[in-house]
Amino acid sequence: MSEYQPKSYPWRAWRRLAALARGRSVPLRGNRRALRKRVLARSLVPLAPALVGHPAQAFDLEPRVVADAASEMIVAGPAEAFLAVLGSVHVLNFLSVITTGRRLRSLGEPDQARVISRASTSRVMLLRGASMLAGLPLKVAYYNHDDVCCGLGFTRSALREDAGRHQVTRDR
Amino acid sequence: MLHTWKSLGLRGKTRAVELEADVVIVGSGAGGAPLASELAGEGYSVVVLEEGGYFPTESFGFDCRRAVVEMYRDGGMTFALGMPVVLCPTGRTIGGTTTINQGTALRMPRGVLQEWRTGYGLSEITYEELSLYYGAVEEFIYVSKPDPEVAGLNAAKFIAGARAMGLEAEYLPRNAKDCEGYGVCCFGCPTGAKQSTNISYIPEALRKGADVYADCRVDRVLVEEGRAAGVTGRFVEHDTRASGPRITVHAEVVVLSCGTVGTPLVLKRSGIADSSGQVGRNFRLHPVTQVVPIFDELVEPHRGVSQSAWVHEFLDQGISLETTVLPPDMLTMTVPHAAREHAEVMSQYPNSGLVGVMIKDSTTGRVMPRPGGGASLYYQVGREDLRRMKLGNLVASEISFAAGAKRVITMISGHHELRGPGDVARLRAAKVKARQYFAMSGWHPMGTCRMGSDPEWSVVGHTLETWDVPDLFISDASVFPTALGVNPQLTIMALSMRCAGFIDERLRERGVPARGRDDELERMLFAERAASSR
Repeated sequence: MSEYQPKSYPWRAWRRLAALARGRSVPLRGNRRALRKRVLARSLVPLAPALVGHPAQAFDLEPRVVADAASEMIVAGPAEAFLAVLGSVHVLNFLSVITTGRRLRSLGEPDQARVISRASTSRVMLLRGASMLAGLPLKVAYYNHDDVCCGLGFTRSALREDAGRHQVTRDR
Repeated sequence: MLHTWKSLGLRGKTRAVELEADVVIVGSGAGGAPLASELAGEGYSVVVLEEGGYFPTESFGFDCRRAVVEMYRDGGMTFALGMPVVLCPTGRTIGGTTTINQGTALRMPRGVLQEWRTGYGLSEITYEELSLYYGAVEEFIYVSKPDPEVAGLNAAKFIAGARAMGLEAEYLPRNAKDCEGYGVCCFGCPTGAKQSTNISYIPEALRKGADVYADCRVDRVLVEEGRAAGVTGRFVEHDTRASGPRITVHAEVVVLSCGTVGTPLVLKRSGIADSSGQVGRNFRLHPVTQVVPIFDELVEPHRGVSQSAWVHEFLDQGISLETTVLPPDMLTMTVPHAAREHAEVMSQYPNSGLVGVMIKDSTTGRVMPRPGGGASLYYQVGREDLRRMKLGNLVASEISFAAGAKRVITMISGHHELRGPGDVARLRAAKVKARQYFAMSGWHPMGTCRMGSDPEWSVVGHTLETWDVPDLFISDASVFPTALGVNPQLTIMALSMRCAGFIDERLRERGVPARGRDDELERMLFAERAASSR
C-alpha cells in the first residue's frame, strides 16, 4: 500500500472521524474556533440590545463589543454550548416568524423585546430555555464591561488597587 | 519545583519526558495536594501532575468572566443533561476547585458518616479518627469564622431575618486568613487570604521537595503485572489547550485525584478498576438555586465574604441555606427575567442580596467518556429533591422578607418574582415541577468511584485503594458513597490525609527509602489522641 496520504479535506475529516470513534481527543483547530466565534457573534449582534434589556441609565455599549465577548466565552466551552446558544437564537427567530411574520433580527428593538419577553414567560419550556440561553452570555458580557460595572458600584480598578495593598502571607 | 511544558524547554510534539518517582499524584486540588505535602514530608519523591495551568495570586483581578474561561473546566460550561439541565462548575487550575470555591470549610455531619458506616460497610472510619485529621487540616488552612464587620451587609441582613423568624443562623467557618471581604473567592482570591491548596498545601509540598507539573493532562494509568506502575499523558498548551509532548511517570504508587468527573474518565480510558461496573455511576451533586432579595437600602452585594452565613436547622432534611455575594456579571445569571425587566432588576444590583439553597440529593446520575474527549454527565433531579428545593426557596424567601426585602427573585417560572407573603403562600400551595426551574447549578460533584466494603458494588475500600488494581489509590470526592449535604473540601482533605498513612505503610512494606521523615503531624496527632483519651 502506498505511503502517500493526501492532505485533502475529506482525508482530514475521515481521520477526525476515526479518532472520534476511538474516543481520542481531537482539539479544535484555532481557525475552527474563530469560525464558530464569528458565526455566533453575527447571530447575536442584532439581538444584543433587546436580549440585554438595553438599560437607558447604563453606558450604551456597541452591540458588536458585547456579542464578541459573549461569543468568545461560549466557544471556550464544549461544542454543545455553542450549538445550544445558536439553536436558541434560531428558536427565537422561529417564534418571531410565527407571531410577527418577520425574523427577529429584522424587527425593531421594542418588537424584539416583546417577542423575547413572550418567550421567557411562555409555558413551553423550550421557549423559556431559548430566551434564557440566548441572553445569558450577552448579559454576562454586558455586565462584565468596566463601564457597566462601575455604574453599578463595582469599580474593578479601585478594588484591584485596594486588594494590592492587602496582600496576605501564610506567616503566623 | 513547579514545571510547565515551556519551563522544561520542550518544543514540538515529538520530545517525550520520562520520570521516576515513589508516588505520582494526578490532580492538585483538595484530594491531591494534602497527600503530596504529607508524602513529600515523609521523604518520598512525589510528582504531582495537574491538567490546569498555574495562576499566581497577582493574576486574579476581579474579571470574573476571564477567570471562568481560564480556570474552570470547559470554560465553566460543564453541564449535566436532565430536566432541568444542571450546570456543574469545577476548577481546572493548580489548586483544583479549591482555587475557585467559596472557601467554606465544614466538617461532615455525623449522620452522614453513620450512613456510610452502616449502609456501605465503612465501619473502619470513625468520627473520632476523622476529627484528628479535620483538626490538623483546619489548623493548616486557618479555618475560622469571618469577622462580622468584613462579612458584609448581605450576611448581616440574612442573619437578622433568620433570627427574626426564630431560626438559628450563624457565620460559616472558612479557610481564610485576614480576609478583607472582596467577594470574588470563586474567581481566585486577589489577596491570597483564602487558603486554597495553591496557596497552602502545594507550596508546602514544593518546599518539601515534591515536583509539580502544570498543564499536563493524564490519559491513562500504566499497569504492569496487575499493579499500577505509573501514568502517561501529554502536556497541553496553556492558552489553546492543544496537545504537546508526551509525559510518562513510573511510580510505586499511583493516586488519582482528578475529581468526580476526571477520575472515572481516566479509569475508563485505562480500562481498569471497573469489575464492579460502578466506575462513573452513583454521580451525586448538591443541586443549588438562588433567591435574590431586593431591599430599599444599599446592600452592596459585591462587598463582603463570598459565603459567610448559613442556616443549618434543616440539615437533617438535607437543606442548607447559605448567603453568597457576587459581582454584577455573575449575579445576572441568577435573574431569570428577560429583556427590559431583566435590566430593571439589574439596575437594583446595589440593593440586592443573594441566598443559595443547597440540597443533599437523593438520586444518582452518571459520568461517561464522550467520544472526542471530555465527559458526558447525566443527572435527573429527583422528585423528593424538588420538594426540598421548593421548601428551601420558601424559607429563603421568608427570611428575606423578614430581613426587610421589598421583593424576592427566584428561579422558579411562574413564581420568579415574589412581592410579599401572598406570593409566598401561592408558591407554598403550588406544585413546582422540574421544568419550571429556569436554571439549576450542581456544586460539589461526588460519588463516581464510590468507597465500600465489597468489591461487588464499590470501586475502592476504606483505605481508598482500588479493589482491582493494587497500588492504585483514589483520593477525591468521587469516593464518597453519598452526598454530604455540606461543602466537602474539608472532608476530602481529611480523607486524603488518612489515605497518606496507608500509602506510607505500603511504601514502607516495599522498602522504598525515604529521604528523612517529617514527624510533625504524627506528633500533633499523637498529642490530640492523648488529649482526647484523657
